[in-house]
Amino acid sequence: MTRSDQELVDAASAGDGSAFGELVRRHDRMLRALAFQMLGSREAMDDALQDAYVKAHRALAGFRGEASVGSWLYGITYRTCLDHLRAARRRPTTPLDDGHQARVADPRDRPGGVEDRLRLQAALDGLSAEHRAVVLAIDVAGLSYDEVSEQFGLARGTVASRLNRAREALRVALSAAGDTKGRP
Amino acid sequence: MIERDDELGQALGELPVPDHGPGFWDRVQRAGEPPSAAGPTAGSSPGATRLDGHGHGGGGDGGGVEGDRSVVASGSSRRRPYPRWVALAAAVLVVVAGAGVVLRLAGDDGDGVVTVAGRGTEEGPPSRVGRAEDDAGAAAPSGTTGAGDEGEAPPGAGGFDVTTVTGAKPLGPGLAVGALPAADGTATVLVRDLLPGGGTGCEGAPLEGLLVLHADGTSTPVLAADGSPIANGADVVPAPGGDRVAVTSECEGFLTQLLVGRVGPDGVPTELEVVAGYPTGGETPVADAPALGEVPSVAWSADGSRLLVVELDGEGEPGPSVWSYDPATGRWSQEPAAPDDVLAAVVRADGSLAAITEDDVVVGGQVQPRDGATGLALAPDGQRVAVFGSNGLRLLGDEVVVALADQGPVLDARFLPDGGALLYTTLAGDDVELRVLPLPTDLNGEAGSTALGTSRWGWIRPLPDSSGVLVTVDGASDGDGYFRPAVERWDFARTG
Repeated sequence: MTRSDQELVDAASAGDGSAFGELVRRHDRMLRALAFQMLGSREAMDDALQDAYVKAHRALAGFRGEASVGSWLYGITYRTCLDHLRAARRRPTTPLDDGHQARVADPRDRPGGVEDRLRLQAALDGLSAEHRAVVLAIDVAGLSYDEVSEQFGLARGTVASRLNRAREALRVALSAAGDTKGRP
Repeated sequence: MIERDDELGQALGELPVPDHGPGFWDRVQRAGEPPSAAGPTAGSSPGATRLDGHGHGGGGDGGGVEGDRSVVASGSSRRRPYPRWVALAAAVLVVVAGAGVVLRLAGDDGDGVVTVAGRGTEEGPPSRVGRAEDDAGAAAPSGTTGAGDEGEAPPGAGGFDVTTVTGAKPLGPGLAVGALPAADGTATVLVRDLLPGGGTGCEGAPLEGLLVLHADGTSTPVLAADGSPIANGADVVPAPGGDRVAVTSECEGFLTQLLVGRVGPDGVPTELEVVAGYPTGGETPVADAPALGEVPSVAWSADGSRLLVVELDGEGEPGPSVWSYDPATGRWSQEPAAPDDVLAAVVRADGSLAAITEDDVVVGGQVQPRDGATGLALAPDGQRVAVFGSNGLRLLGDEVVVALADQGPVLDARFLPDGGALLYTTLAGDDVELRVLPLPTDLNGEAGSTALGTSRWGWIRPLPDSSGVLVTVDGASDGDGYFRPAVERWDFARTG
């Protein structure tokens, strides 16, 4: 029988080590998307998620269930990615551009709509990591406005502003993609 | 209510996401092991909590074996130990986020107030904006009062009524980062927004400059003395008295410019000179200034003669440091007596520091448990300090003066410039409650605070003449789905 997130949290808190593994794997795809889009490379994504999962495990005892487990993990991952971005800025020998180059190349690996995905990815890359994170949280991960506000540590207005700005940029890219669909 | 954009979400969801690299889960396990339990079979160490996932959902390991899918995360990290403050911050964040307050270890507000929770930056004030999505106008105060539900004000302290609330309308686009009064009594809001001329800003994102929104809806760009825009303006920190101002700009959390100037009669910062960081377009940092990286707090002394800057440590670097800037001479000096692990600090009139550290609150020679403290406000006398955070409010001098611990999280706190009261905000459902603690000179711990009313969340910025307070809202709906900064001015009538 599939256990709920809260049941897994309770079990993990009680010492069931496998429960935490099941929990993070359940949300891993969503968190990989966030970390990859914020950081730009698989290596950076893995580094950040490694730290985020360890942090989450250590903080498990403090999880009181006020937030959903998914949004809680999302918040931890977001903040960890910001930490890694800041650390990377202190290490000029590992420029973030490496990741951006790798990321732009990735959409070619999928059949169909390659140009559209490239255009959308380019628009996403044009946003700051914080703007990317907000639009991914709400429009992809399905977090609520309040969840993002609380888990990201942002005022509601800031969430709204970032979301508006990100959507504006991405919708332009989507619109351009739609314009090209009828072309021969 | 903001709805999910399904079309955009689907398109974004179709962008490729890589699986983890080989051995990811194994590395996660090792990262969480106690040092004594290192090794490929550490997960079976006695007393260790084993993390054995079984592949529900998530992506593959990129070639990992079954043993990769386990982790021990019950000890300290072996691979990448964190500074203690990071761990503490994470712990504080988890605890306080549950109380409806969101924390981030960064931020400053000004007027002698520094916070390590939320930040007066793009993120706005250190908490939620109440009911921002509901209507276009800011909520009116719940009523005026001279005696709140925390008890009567001390005799002789004076009563407070709110006589008028004005200016509750969304002003224009941008992210509010502060507010300043203009000489004509109107309020201005400082915002970050895209500049008409375009350009590339932080990390390749469109250039965002600092602008002032006036009460009539017009805007004025804030420029450095050389005429260049203030890119990614993060904080606007007015000095007590309101004549000087410090402005910071940042990128991805790192300071790029610290500017010091004056506030013009129209409420626009002017004569802004870069005193640390990089001049606009320049590749050489300002000479004879510290290389400031991650700056969680910037605060003026009570007399406006010194600007105190806290810089956090980086990986492999020594701990945080506290720097002092003298605008009269343009000289920087490092504070030799800064406490270890400092996160926020203000300098007192006697030259001692009041600080929040990882574990403590330090005021002069007095050391108290931190107990959720996330912000400091320096009184106009330069000696007393309000310490606030998730566990309420403490007013500290050379000894504890007042402790109010029964009001839940305190989000922001400001002294009136005349020293007659301390204003602060607490959570009230989705809104905040503005409260006042009148300040006689001989408080003995028996003081009571009064509620002035509720509103959306905003920064509180007392007017220089102590006749009222600006409440700045970052994110009032304009009715078309966009969120505009707004500012309210609450005027006081004081009796007794």
